Amino acid sequence: MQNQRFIRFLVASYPYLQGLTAVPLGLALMTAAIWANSLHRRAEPLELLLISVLVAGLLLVSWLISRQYSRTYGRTQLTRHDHRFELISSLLGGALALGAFWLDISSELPFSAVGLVFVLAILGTYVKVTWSVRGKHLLHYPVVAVTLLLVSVLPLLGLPLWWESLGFRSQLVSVVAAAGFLIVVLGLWSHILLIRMLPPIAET
Amino acid sequence: MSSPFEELAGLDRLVHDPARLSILTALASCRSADFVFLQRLTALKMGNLSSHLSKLEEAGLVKSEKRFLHKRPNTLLQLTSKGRSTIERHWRQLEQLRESADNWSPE
Repeated sequence: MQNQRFIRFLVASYPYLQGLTAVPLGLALMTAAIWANSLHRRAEPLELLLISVLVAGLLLVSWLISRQYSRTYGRTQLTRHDHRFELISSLLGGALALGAFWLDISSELPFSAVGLVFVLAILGTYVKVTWSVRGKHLLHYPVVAVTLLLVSVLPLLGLPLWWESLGFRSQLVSVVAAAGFLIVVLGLWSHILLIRMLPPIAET
Repeated sequence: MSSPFEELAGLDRLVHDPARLSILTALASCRSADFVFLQRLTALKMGNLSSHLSKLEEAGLVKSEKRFLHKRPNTLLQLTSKGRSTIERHWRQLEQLRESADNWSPE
């Protein structure tokens, strides 16, 4: 039988432990970044259509995975308070991401504002989930956040134009690709935790 | 004044059963959860979980809603307001008991 703190942690973090849903989203980010990096002229309408279909396909896969989680592991609904918090933080996060994107493309900063927004989102999720239950199981969130933070501020750490050595044309594209990759890692890690915490049902 | 051990014996058995305590604690941490999630969480067999849920429902602590989701039967479970106050009071009682047991001396 599970203890109270573990149960509270598991219920609070359940939406974030369904990590495979994040994998197509991370892949979509990486695909979009690598595609943008490969462009040497203005994109043709057909190219734009193809990349949009590919990204939409990955989003569809994410939705299908989420349905599979519901069938296999069941579903929970957030409390009204958590739901409201989720909505407000998503809206704020979206606005911040747009602002950071504008900042990154309009000025040459020694750090990536978009990268910092991703870091904030990952840390925000970690703090929200562990605030009340003091669970130690989501430690991969701060690990991934710190990694992305380091990637975002590499020019400040004495590595200007580091992205060029990896074949990227701008800091923004390289950080978005790195964020996509780290989201894939985060998703796989979360899924492994979920299957450890919720063992298969012996009898159906 | 009763000792913490006498108070322990006086706990509500309906709520204090380990399986039912897990179910109520899980439901208190969210708005609702379905049968499959609770089964995964408690690792109880289907019949056993159904039996515990029936007891909680009869006591008015939990309410269930049977529905079809993506053409599959799905049972959604939720705490009633009585259930929420009962589980919160129960955990408070357990905390107090733990404290008084820590401070208890035979004299």
